[in-house]
Amino acid sequence: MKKIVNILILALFITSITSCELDFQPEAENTVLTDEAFNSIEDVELALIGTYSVFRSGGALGGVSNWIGSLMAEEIETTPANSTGFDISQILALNFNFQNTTVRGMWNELYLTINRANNVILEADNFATGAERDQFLGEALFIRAFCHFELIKYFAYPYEFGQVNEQPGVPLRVEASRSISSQPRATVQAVYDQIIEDLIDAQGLMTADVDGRATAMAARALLAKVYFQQGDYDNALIEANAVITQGGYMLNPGVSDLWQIDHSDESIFEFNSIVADDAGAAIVGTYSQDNQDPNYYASFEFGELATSDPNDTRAGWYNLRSASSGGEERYYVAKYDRNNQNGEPVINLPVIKLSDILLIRAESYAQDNQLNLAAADLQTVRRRAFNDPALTVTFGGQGDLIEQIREERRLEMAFEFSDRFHELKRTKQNIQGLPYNSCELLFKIPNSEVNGNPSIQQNDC
Amino acid sequence: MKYSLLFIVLFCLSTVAVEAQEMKVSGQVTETGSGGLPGVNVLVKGSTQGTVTDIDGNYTISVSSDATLVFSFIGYVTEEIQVGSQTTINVEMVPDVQQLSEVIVVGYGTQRKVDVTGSISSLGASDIESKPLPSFESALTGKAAGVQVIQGSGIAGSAISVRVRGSTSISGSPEPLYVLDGVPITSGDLSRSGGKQIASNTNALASLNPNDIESIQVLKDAAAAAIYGSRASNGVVLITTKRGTSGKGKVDIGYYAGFNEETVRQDLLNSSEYVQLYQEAWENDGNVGPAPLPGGISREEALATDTDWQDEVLRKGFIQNFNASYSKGTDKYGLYANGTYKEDNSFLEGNTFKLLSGRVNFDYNVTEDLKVSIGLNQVYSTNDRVPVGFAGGLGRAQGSALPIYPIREADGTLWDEVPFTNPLLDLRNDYRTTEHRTFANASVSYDLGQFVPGLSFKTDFGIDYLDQNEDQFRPGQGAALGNGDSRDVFVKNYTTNNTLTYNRILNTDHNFTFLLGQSYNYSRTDTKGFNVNNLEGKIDGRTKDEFDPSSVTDFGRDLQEFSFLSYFARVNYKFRDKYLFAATMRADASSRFGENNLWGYFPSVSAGWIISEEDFLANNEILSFLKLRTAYGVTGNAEIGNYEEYGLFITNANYNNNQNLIRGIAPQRLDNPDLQWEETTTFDIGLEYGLFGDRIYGTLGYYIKNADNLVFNANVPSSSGFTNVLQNALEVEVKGFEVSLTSRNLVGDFKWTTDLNFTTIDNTVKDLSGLPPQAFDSGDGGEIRLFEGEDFATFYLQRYVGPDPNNGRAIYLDINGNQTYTPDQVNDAVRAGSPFPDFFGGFTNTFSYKNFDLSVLFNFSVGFQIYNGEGPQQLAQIAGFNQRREILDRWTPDNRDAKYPALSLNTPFINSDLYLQDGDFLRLKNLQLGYTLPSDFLQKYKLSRARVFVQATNLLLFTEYDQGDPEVVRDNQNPLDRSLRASATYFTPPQARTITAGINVSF
Repeated sequence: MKKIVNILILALFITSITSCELDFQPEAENTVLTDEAFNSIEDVELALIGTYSVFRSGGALGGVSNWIGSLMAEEIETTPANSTGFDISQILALNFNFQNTTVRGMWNELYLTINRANNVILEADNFATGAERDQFLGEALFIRAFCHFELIKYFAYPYEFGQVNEQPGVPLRVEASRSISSQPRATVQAVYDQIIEDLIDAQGLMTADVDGRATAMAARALLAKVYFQQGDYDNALIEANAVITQGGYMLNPGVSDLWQIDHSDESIFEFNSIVADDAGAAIVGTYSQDNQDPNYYASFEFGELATSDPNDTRAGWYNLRSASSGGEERYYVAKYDRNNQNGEPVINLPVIKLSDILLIRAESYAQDNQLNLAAADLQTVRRRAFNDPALTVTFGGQGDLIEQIREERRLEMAFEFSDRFHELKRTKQNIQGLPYNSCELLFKIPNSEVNGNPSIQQNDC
Repeated sequence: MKYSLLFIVLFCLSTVAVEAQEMKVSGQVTETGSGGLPGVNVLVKGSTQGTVTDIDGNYTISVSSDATLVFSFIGYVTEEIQVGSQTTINVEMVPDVQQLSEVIVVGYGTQRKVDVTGSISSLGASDIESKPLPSFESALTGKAAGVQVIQGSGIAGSAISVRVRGSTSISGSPEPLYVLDGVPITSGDLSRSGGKQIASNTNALASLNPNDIESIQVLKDAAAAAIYGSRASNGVVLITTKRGTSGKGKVDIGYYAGFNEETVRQDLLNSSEYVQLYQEAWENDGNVGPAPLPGGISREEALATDTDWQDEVLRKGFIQNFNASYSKGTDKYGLYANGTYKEDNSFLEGNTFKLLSGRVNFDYNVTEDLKVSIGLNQVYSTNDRVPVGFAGGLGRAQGSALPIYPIREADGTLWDEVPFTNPLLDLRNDYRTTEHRTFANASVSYDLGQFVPGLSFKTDFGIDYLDQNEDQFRPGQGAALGNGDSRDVFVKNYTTNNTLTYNRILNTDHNFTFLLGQSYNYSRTDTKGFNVNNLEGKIDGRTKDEFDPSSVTDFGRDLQEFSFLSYFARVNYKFRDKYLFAATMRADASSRFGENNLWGYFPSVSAGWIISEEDFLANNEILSFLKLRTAYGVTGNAEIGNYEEYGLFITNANYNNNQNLIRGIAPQRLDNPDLQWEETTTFDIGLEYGLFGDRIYGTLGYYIKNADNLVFNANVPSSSGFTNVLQNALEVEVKGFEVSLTSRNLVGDFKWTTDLNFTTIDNTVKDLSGLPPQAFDSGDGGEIRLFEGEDFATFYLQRYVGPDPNNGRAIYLDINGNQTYTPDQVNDAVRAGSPFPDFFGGFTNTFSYKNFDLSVLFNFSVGFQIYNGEGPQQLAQIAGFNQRREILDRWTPDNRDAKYPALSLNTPFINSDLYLQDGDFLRLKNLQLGYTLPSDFLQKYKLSRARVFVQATNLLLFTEYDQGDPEVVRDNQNPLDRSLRASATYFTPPQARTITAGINVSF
């Protein structure tokens, strides 16, 4: 009997040294369990930093958003090699399919940004109250609104001012995803209402001003752009006016200073960059002429237009030359060219600038028939462009003035966040011969959404 | 109390004996070459009086002196002995038919094969020894019904795909569980990036020395495998090593050596053909004049050069294997020791796998009841690896290395001009994988029969340590310095099993065996690595130990742990040796399961009826044995990855905040507390038969495997901020027949035996959870997809019609069946065949005459397609790839009904059915001719046995497939590709044809 006891003790010993642990948690580098991610308000700020990280990435504002619309609006041309690619050829031909990886990347990264922002909004209340919490919440709301705004412009029919906008918009994501969740497309009206609500809230919450991060004034500037896109010029005027009069921004002396000086006086919202983490890298690769021929350059027609007046210093944004391998001459875009001391391209990426808001106010005044005020804003922008403090704007009536402001906008905003594409839609002009509200101009809801969300409505043309 | 009861029983028995006035006879029944045989029926002939032998084979019976005792036991020749005056009658039972009396290893124990109610395929040592196996599991090829084994390629030390009754997993692993002497061992590919970097992978099982293996059992259905619970769905392979058996010490020495070469070599264009066709393509594109050739080669140079790049990277391989073993057993101890050296220099230049293995198995009977067993196996292996496929080497030699390119510059350095990379440059890379492996286990068995008759306890503890180092050195080219990297993987895997077994025979008719057990398995994989830049280095030689520490970059580390805690029980009940019932239950908890599904329960029930034991079949002339068995149960597959149930945030979502780079956090993966094992429900029915005195015997079986809750990294709406979440979402069903048959065609001096087995696989996708086919896109051009209601894995390709007779342009069909030059690669593709066979198997013919023996194994696979993934380049894009010679049948004005379209320098990459072919094949897998030296010779040299043999593998191949070797598995990195794209190749090296000669000597 003693032996059996010994054996059993041995067995128990062997069993016990194994201890039968069943719960192992990942210890991979650069990850933390969701349950352990938030412990203090500092973590909420880190989540906000993580939100900016993708907000400025190449699939979202730091890249695709910048050029994809311009490609459709024929402001940009691309190399023959690039244009035959699966994705780009579809974009050029306005013949999208839902497997377009560029479009999918844009959708995914914008919604990735929204979810990150929603995590900040979810967690902010758990750790603090007061100004710090309000600031983080406000920044997150600003980012969420910005992303929804980008999405609605590409994936949904345009907003029709003064009408009921029941057309399908995009899924509204206002809650952090902590489990699998599906959303149908909200109406265009609902999406714009949410964007506006978020921005009004954001503006009321933010008090801090940190370079590279959103501010209350940036929220107002974005709100001006949203109203402007909707065709709600009264409200656009109010917001633009507030930014111009209360924001303390000033036009830079030179038209290119914005991209040469970090956080210049004109910059309202701008992504930060350093060499190790180059916010502007995607843009640099898109247009930069430093080492090689970039993928994108100005369409010849636009290049001719933009350089037609040698007195306009903005003509210096274009560089007429042959590709390094020879061939026909093209207008390369020099706007984003900037070298640091080591010769590596580094740029902060300005996203909203004062001249944009000035031109919004100009057109909003003009729409309201306050033509002199409108002309004054146009004149401010044009004087800087022509480096001529004596320049005056003359116009022949409201229609002519609006036309001049829009032409000015075309030159001033070229190659910035596909402004031309959104302008053509806002002003109800044809794009590649198609009416502004054509279904063919809408991106398809990508397979990454459709495959997991069978109930989502596709943009079927 | 217990003893008094026993006394009463004994008293009653003795009373009966006195009344009958009979004598008492006792003795032991033994098995030939083994110990006591329990459970033997001892009957007085012509009466119902009888008894059954106890656990040691002893019996006592009271009989009259004129009685005849009948000793019977299923699977043994019945013995009849007249009692006469004997009071001690010892009987040695002779097995009736060897295969039926066989004791086989089952989960946590052994069982007589005849009593088994599950479906198990077995292999013995003779099927494994002396064969030039790349790894032991390849011995199953063509030998085990229901088991499909494909060595992916002839790369030494590379992976082998084993599928038990078809494939069901999609994102989970489809490979079986391997259990070595009771310990689940580490299997799979542990090399860098899963081998993706050089398009070939490694096989952790290759470390196990085939010479050490006594038997392999493949547990296929739920009755057999459900005792392994959540790890059993893909089958369980039980490997049992050799042990010292009774008898005097015996030394076995074996050596074989031989050559190997590739089974198939591609027939590619030579230089002048290439130049001519290139010119033709140039002109077809509307150009005039001589075409500028790739790489800036002039026409004269091109024609003067004719490089056969395949010759440069292929060689005649050499393999050898030496092993020596010693075994001895007494009633006190048993010892088995083996040392093996194995070397496989494959037909790929620079590719060598070497293995040095030592094993000691020691059993010690401390007392009659207490037994201690130890097994210790230390293995050292090195694997010099070369890139293949897309990564270079042979893949490049058959692809972008054009025959017009010279090998070397005039000064002897390797020629290397854009856009070309010289395949010999790939081979200069020095990539060595070194592995130290320790398999060790210790067990203690205690027979508790002295306390409770029939009760025994066993505990064992086993470890499998795997330490793998990968060093890679890439020499610099020109002015560029070399670089290298080093990576170490340490896998610590241990298991403990504790079992109680209780055997009880009631009233001679009822035989119960109970098993109750507990098991815990823990595994920890710790991977560390770093890169080294700016290595001066020489082109040859290993200089990476001399690097400057300051040039080390990119330290990386990954830690993976998992564990299983299990409880299990089994009851076997046998009534009158005719009716068999068994039930098993296993409960598994694992670190891999979500908190809502931490425990899984895996039951099985099974029954058998040995019909031939019934009176109505007794002495039947034709049927000598017949058994019907059926089983139903549930198993799981837990190879779903580690930590997948945890939601994660990344901590390196960086943003430059106010001129400080801040590491932000961001959600990366959703929690999935419901994550669980894949669950397979299996129904199995089988008939085991023996005919004409077991001259013919075998099994007929039918199975239905329904695999549900299959994990898939399914799309979730990406507007949620996540694109994929691993979910238990899909369902696949496999059903089919398994047939095996052994026929002893000739017995006597000239013996001829045929073994045949085949398996049908009908594999259907039942439920894709509403996910569309494109969610399962796999492959470069999405050439594989899944469709509900269709075969598991379907090729999805453009339909090629042929060249337009008028202009030679390739015509395809669009989705509506209309002809088009420019098919849409997404919308115009259609379903076209399946990569998995409907039908596979093998047959072996064994002949022996006097001292000669001959064994011939064929294997076959029918009803599947192979997608030749290099086709869209190697049979189309002449601008960048050398072409197979069959491209000569291209459209020209004089050859308008050609197979291939007119050549162009701008042919797009299109995955079409032009490159899809049936892969059906029949292959002479193994042939072995042996001669056993005569005994007078042996005596002269004091040898007990000596045999010389020659052997060939992959000697002959019968197939219509003309694009390479049809027995192929592409090495894919991600699980989805591995599961679905088995037969989509991309410059995958063929199998090896091996010819060896050897000798085995025993003394």
